[in-house]
Amino acid sequence: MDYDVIVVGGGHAGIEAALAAARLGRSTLLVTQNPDAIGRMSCNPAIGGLSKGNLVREVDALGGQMGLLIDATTIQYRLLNRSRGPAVQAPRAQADKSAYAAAARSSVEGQRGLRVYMDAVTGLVASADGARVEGVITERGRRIGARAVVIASGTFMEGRIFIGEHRAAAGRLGEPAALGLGSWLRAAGFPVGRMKTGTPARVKASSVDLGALELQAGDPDRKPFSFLNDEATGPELPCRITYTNERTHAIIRANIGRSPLFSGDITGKGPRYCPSIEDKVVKFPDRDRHQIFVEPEGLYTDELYLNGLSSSLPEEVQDEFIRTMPGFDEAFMVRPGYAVEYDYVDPVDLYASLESKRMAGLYMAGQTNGTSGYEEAAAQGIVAGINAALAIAGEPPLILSRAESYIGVMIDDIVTLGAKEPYRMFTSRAERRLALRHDTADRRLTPVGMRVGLASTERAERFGRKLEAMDAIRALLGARRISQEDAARDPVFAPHVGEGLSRALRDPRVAEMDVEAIEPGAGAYPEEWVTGVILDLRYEGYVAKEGRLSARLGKLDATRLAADFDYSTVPGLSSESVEKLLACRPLSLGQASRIPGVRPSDVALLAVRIAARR
Amino acid sequence: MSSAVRAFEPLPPRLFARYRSGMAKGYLDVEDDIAALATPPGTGALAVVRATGPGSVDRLARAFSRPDALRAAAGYTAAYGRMLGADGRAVDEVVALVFRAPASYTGQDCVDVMCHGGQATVADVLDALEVVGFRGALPGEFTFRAFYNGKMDLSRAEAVSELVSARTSEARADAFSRLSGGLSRELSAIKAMLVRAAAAFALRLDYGEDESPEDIVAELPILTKARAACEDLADSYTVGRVLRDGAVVALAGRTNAGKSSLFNRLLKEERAIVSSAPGTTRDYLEAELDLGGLPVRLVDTAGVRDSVDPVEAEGVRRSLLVADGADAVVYVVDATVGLSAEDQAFLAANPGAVMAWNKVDAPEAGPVPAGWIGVSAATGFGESGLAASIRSSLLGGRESDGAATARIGTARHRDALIRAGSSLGDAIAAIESGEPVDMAAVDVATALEALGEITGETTSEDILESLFSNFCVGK
Repeated sequence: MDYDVIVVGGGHAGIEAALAAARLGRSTLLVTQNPDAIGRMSCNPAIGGLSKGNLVREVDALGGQMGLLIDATTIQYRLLNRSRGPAVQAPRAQADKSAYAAAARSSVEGQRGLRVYMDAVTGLVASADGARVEGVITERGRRIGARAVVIASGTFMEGRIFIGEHRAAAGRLGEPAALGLGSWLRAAGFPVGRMKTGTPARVKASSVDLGALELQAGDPDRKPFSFLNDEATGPELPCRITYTNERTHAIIRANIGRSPLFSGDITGKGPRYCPSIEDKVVKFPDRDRHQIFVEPEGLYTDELYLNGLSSSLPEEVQDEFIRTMPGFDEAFMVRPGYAVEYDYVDPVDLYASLESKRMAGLYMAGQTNGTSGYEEAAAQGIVAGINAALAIAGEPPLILSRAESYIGVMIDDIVTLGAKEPYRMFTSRAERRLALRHDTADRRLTPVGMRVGLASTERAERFGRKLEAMDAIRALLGARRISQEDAARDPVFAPHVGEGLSRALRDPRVAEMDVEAIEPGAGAYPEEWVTGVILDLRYEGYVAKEGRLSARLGKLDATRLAADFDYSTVPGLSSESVEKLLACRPLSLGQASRIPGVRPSDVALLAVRIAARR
Repeated sequence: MSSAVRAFEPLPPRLFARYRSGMAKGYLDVEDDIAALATPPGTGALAVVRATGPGSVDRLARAFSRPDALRAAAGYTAAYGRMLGADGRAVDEVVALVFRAPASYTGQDCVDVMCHGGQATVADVLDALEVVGFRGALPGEFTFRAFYNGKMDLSRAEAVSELVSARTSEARADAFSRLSGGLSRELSAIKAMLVRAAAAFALRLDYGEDESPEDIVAELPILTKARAACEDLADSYTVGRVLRDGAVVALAGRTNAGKSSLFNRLLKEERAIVSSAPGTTRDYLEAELDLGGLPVRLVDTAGVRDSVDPVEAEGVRRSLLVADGADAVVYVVDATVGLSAEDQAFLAANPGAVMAWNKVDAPEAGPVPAGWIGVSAATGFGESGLAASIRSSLLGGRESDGAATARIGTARHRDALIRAGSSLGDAIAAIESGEPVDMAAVDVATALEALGEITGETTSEDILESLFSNFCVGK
């Protein structure tokens, strides 16, 4: 074999997969059509956001790269949903796009045991019986052997771009599609489908009257994504907000027939949560305006990203409707928005390890699996990379549970439900979201990263120090008794006299106060650690309630099912259920219960059958 | 899956009364051939003994005078013959109706043996089956096998178990409406409300404050409405239970108020009560009747009077206990005597009692006081008004129109709905006390989970579906 692991694609999934495999000691080759494009952000210039920020911190906690990359290239930081509860707060950072890609490329090129090679993969080399992958075939006719292959092709596999009536074989505007691999997978019997996503136009900043827009400033107290960083610093650029109006909508309606989305030219399914502006205008005709976020693409570019204005209407129509927005009368469009349609492989074809059920040694990650988003891609990439390396070492795969991580929720969702539209992480998908706060990612997953061998010595040591400090903080808050003097100073303390501060903190009015003013000793520790302890204490009751709610989930998940269980021999299972169960081959009763079309009574029946067998 | 466990709970035993003991067999021994009396015990022209199991036809043939005819019978055909006892002598002439798997109630081969009614005959037939190796069915075991073999889902299995134990035609209609989806329509309406509420929460969980409405207080009306709907349906359990299990109605009043004659009038029988409970006339009597479609056990209690006679004192004590345990109490007063202090005391202690002003047609009767129903046990005057008042007292104002209003009939459903309603109450309280949206969301999820025990699970996809179709979101 030439390499242990070959990773196809240098996007956010490919980077994490290649780095993880190489860091676990596997000789790794990253094959990309263009090394200059490693780590490019195809769409919005931001990392994180609700539940996505949690994913980034989970990737970091395991020993991944994304958190470090964004910390180094942030140009604005916000903690979203400060006014809401801790489960729905998450960090998001605007990135300097070109700096981000440069940092990513540098981390890949600097990794020992990892090589980058420029070519396009057009097919796989399979064993004689087709049951194992043995390498890749490239556009220039090379056969490269490997014990494991990770496909992370993004939007490039048979990618096709639509701008009004214009069509181009491309994965990103101006970058050629990767042709061949999709057809190879189809011919080999993989369930390949088409998906669609879109991106808005970019306009020249100096052609826009920025003073006419609402300003959206970043948080003054920036926090790092990576648990390896103590602080986050760097330049600061503001975002802005504007709105569409009735004129914008009238232009869109008048030209709706020219959108490939409505003319029927695009067959791939697009994301409902990230609709194009024409979708929004058609679907919600009563709305007289839609909010548009105007985001800078970087420090050394004059391009602005129009978040919320994704479109595949003809360029001149986009040009026209953009200029209806206040401040955009003279706007110059640098790049038009477009829709891109691409091949994906239905992830129901994968085990939760992200390994293919039909070809051992083959892993898939990111948009290849029908997900969308940089963060979702990175999270699958690191799992695929880890599992490729573990499999070569003859070790069992890493399968994160729904109860311990957003990553586990996402992977269980896609391998169980398949992807019918681009899958995006949502807070509401996680049953244990109160426990899955972004600031607890290291406590949940760094021990896993250490066990697997991906967490560095530095990370392990920092983590140990943090755990000790949190214990000390807990002891400190428990020892501080609320006194009569406290109550005299502030009546909020009156009901808590005699209690430890850790108990009094369950009262929302106490929790909102500055803890250092009550117990100055807390000032000796990093703020995030103190806040973490307080949140743990304050919401203990709700976390327990949430735990009870998902206890049933845990029980069903603990009941294992054999991958080769023959459901057709179970009398009474509906034929639809049998078909779905055989297609998915769930590894637990819990996974079976989440397969759409498998009725609860069928799950009950399976549970009874399993009980009868014992 | 909690419902899987519940499938093991014994279903009502009425049909499957015999052969409770014997081998320590369980429901999971689904390959056993089992049999039980399928018609109510007692005397009738015919009785049906049902047998099922993979080998049930062959096994039954061994106790049948024409074994080959039975073995050869196709599904839905009958074989005439005699059941043979242990000594080979005929115990009865029977018709055996054969069902072949999977086209049978249980999904396995099944034989319905129609024999002559009468407890001795039935016992002989069952003994004959036991001799050839049939096991007595456990309570609900036929229905369990139907579920096990995929012939019906859990909620239908529950409804069937009620259908077979339903006592009156209205009760049957109620169980039947559940089978045909009446309850599931009502539940779907509640589920839709909860999913809408959960979507409103998901909107705030999934989108930032700059993209989604801030004020969760705006969701209080839908939460309140959903909670009320859960509580209403949970309350309907009383009606469902009365229809299924029957209600106990106690006739109370002082000695000689005319309770016994009213008792006989309501039973439409002049003769002495056949099924009288043991005891003296100073104890209490009871009988079953169909009160406008409701199965009712009517109990005539001894007179309420502080007695020095020890036997009567015991009777009074017991009748007060019966009144305490009754679903409705009819308090009878002799109109020619009027209200006494004892009457006042009883009514003060039982404010919901239906008050009957008896002997209202007697010349010396006092005028009917407000809130009382004038009746005459002797002539039947006022009887229908009295029956209507008893019904409405039992149904708690939820007057049944006999039509399709669905009611829940099982304690499991009621429990789930009460938990759902109470979690929604927690959510409302959390919002009102200013807890953040993600905390109240746990309560809404708990409510949805509880409802899911009846309706099937709600997935996060269902919630997102509702979110995307109701709100314009996404950048």
